[in-house]
Amino acid sequence: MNMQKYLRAVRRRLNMPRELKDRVMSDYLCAITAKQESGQTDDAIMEELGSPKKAAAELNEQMKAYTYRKSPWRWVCLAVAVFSGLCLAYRGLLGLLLMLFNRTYNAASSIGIIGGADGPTAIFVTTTGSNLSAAFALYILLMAAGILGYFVLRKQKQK
Amino acid sequence: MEERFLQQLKKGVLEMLVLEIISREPTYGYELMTKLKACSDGLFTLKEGTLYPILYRLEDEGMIEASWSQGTGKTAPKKIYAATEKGQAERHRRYGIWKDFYRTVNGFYKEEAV
Repeated sequence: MNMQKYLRAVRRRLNMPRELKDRVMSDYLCAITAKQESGQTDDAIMEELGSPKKAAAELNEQMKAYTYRKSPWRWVCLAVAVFSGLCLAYRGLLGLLLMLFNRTYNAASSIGIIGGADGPTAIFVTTTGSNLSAAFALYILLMAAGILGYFVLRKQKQK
Repeated sequence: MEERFLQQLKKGVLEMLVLEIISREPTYGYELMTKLKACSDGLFTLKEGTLYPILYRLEDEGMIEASWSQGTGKTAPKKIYAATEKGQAERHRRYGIWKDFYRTVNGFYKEEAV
């Protein structure tokens, strides 16, 4: 591993806001430059600092007051995302099967939409086909919200 | 694991010493670490990164400023920390507090000796 790669790997593992990462990495790079100038080889420096994982863990430990906190609620969000993802896959498969099984069924339903009423009455008039797409939209929305929530809750500021 | 009492004492004075060293001469993080170690007979032997939160706190409070030094032929540019006027004043203030503290604490032991 060369030094650039090493530094990137350390940076990636820092659990803090980007500005702080920049700040830490600028000082870290400076220390490495100083070591290089004192005659240490890159390999020796990396050996001394340890694996990127270890080095980053130490930096995270030192910067504890600034690192992100992971909220346990993120698992709820992940569960919602996974559940709606599964529902989506199930519905998608069902829809696909229906479409393959009976093309006329779909043709009939689209006529139903075109010929049907607009507005609230459409809910009553339209057939399973559009119910399916409403469910699709709901599941996609839930899944997106779940994934978003998961990542947001992983990076909570310290109290 | 280092003794807890010693660790707490060190933690208390480290920020003051960092400000003191930077006030004497602008310096970069790694050099600061080497100086601390050399001037304390190895008592303040720190890991890379230990000083960062202290440096950032001092910088955010306006005590010190960071700037990039020009690299010469052989050396690369470095992030140098220098004390501001506010930092210089704070350095003296802290040393005053330390002296009072030191005297008071020592007073306890003198009384016992008498």
